[in-house]
Amino acid sequence: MGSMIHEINDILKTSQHIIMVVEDKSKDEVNPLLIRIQYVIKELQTHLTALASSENDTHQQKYHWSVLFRVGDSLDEMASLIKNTTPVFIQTDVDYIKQRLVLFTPHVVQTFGKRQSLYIITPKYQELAGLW
Amino acid sequence: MGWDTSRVDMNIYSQGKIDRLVYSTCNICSNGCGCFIAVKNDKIVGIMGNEEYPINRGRLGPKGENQWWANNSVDRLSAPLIRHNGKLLTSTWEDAYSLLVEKTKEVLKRKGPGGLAFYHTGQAYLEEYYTISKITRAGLRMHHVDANTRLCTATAEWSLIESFGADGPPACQEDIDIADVVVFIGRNSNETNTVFWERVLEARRKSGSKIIEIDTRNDLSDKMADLALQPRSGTNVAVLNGIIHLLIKNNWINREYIQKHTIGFTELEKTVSRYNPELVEQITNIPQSKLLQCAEWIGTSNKTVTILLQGVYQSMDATAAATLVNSMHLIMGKIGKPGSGPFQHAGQPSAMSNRETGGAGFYPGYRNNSNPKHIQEIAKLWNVDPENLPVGPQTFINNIVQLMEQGEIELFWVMFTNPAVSLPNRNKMVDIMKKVFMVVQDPFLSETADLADLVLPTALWGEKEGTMTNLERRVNVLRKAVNPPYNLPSDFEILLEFSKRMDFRDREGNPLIKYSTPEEAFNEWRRVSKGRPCDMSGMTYDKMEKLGGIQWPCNEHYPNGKERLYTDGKFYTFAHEAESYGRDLLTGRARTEEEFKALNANGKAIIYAFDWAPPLEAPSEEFPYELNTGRIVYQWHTRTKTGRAPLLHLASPEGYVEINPQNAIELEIEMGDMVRVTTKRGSIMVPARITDAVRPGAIFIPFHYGTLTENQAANVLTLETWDLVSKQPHFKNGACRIEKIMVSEGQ
Repeated sequence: MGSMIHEINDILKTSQHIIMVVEDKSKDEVNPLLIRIQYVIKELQTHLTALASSENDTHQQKYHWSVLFRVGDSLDEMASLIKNTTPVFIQTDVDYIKQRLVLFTPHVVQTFGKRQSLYIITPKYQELAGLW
Repeated sequence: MGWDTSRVDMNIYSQGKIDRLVYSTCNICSNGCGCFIAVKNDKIVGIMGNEEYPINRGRLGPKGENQWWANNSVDRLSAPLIRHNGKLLTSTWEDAYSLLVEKTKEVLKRKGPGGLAFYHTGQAYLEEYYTISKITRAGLRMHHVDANTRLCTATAEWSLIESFGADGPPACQEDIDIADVVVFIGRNSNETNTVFWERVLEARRKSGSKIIEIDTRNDLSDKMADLALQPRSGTNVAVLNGIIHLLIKNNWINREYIQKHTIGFTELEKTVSRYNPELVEQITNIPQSKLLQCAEWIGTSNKTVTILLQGVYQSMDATAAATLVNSMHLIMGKIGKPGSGPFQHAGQPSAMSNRETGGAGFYPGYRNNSNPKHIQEIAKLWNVDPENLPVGPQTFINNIVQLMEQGEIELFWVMFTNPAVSLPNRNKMVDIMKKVFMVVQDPFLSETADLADLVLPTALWGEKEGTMTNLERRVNVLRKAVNPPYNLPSDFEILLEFSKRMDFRDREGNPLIKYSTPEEAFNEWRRVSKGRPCDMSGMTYDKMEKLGGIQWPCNEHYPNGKERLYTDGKFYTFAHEAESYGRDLLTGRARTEEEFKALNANGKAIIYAFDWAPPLEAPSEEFPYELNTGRIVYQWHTRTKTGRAPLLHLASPEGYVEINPQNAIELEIEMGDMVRVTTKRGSIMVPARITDAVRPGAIFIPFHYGTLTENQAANVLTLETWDLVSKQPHFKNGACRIEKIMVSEGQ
């Protein structure tokens, strides 16, 4: 877990940038997705932070990883929907977060084994990572 | 209860007497009317309503009466087609199957199951869906499987799962007969389900029940209602919060039921407290007096049924709005009782069968794809290794299309549906479909088949056997009336042949698919469904025919089926039995098992609070009109069948746009003038109809007309966004502009 702190901080920084961009956009446009994506990002940040501090608690880690990959799915979907409704440039940041989550998948498999990982990592991230 | 009188509708075109009448079910809408297929000289020559069938007592809708013309259409495909040098050429079945298997194996080898996608229908038979479920999961191990039910009533399914833990409409048609108040939301019953609507009107005539219509359009159903509310587009959540606010304020609720059978009421009470009639009027444009009247009728009645359709399911925050309807019934305790309940139902004739058998979405029998025990159960029933079964949600169609665009999916297999017309932002979809190897199973060269690389023509309704579940969980058998022309296989037979050629095996090396007839498939499905909410273990083909369809659950406790669900106030919300752990209504984020358990629902229904938010695309200076698309009485979906029925085609041959008279004056448009309708996605040209069926500032376009050669497809205009929970597209929201481009003849 310790070796991941750097990556986690990177994601936190990138996700904060998304919040800045959508907040800025929200000033001159009413689009509920611009608010909702912030909820998703805040969830991402909360669980990443919690993960970083749950080093010896595998039960808690499993929970946080499960939420994180589901948040990753939502973030990706919401970015697509936003792209289809208004020009906001967050796709690069979203792709970066996705890539980072993909890079975490081998660690999850190593920690929890294939059987449990199937339920922790969502199908999208299993496929993006080419796990099996 | 039910119909007191029968009326046998028939449409038979035959010289001399017919040879026989064959027991069947109408294959158009979700009402599932009982009928007989008229046969002469081994040809379908008409249809007659089944006088004994409880759903319709002989009645048929205009589309149902005319569906059989398609069977005899001269442009039925007679042999497979394979694309060579850009052109579709006739091939043998051997070549077609070989190509299908070869391409599938090639993509599997190169990209794994993620390179494949399967997209099917809500109009096939239960046995076909069950086979799709088995082949795509245990054979191909793929995630990218969806059906056009996603466009239709995926929200109904998801709202039931979110509130009650499992799919399945709690109410039934008999409730219509005895309700004091029937509320329709976003549903033009006069055109979409005419026999059902007739039953509602008959109930009102007999018992004096009241009809409330909540719909953005002022269509005929609204005009025939006792009370009609016309909210602005995309404001259903605000309307429902306003009604619930008044129910609570006036104490028209059942606190004992709330306490014993639900969780989440306090949060709902807090949220709706803001939605007083003044605020609701500001958001929705519904006069306060009408909202008060509506809430009073609902709240003070002994029995209320609420029926929803696409005006909710294809609109902003669809699942949230639909769960609010569930919550409205829960807080009044009006559920699971005769004459009361939320009637969240399917739209297509067998969408329910698709959902029950796991054709798309969940595992068969409403099993949770994130629950290892449910997957182990299925693995045992199918005798396969549980580790080989895909875990987690399947990919929804808009996501499938994105993956096709990105080059991830290379083989797109479409069965009995027409996405080139029915998907939102259709021109983009058509371009993407051209990028992949596309296989299409269809009796006709539909717009989608025309783009395919391999076309497999199939048998139609009346030419194959199977079952379908209707909107009130009634399962009925459809007997085969005639052999298909040109010896065409059914979808079921194609799937079996594919499985055989792919050599799919169970864990002991025996063929994965052991059945060879639809009835054998149904008998296997009965075992798979046993013990689940949609238990059909007590059904047989003969029993269905004898009883006139059977409502699930049908087992040793309910040998003749059960009319309504949740009569005991117990819901499927224990983690071990739930169909899904649910999704967050605001963001669509999937819940984990821990989060679901933390709700502590444990058999109680879940009430949700939800605030209104505006639609994703609102009218602007550039696009000043609200766009609405939908259905009409004479056509079904993309007209593949109804467009081939002479009377239906004559009655409604082309697309059009409905414009309010006030806007028509402003734009100097007269009846029949050709107008261009434009959104950010594209533009179409259709004649204008001037009518007060649409509010000023809003327009309506039927979505049925979508040929690639005429520029009338409503889905060229529609927004490529969807509900975050159900993933159902927002066909009812969007902004557009209108311009006159040509005056009508005679002006």
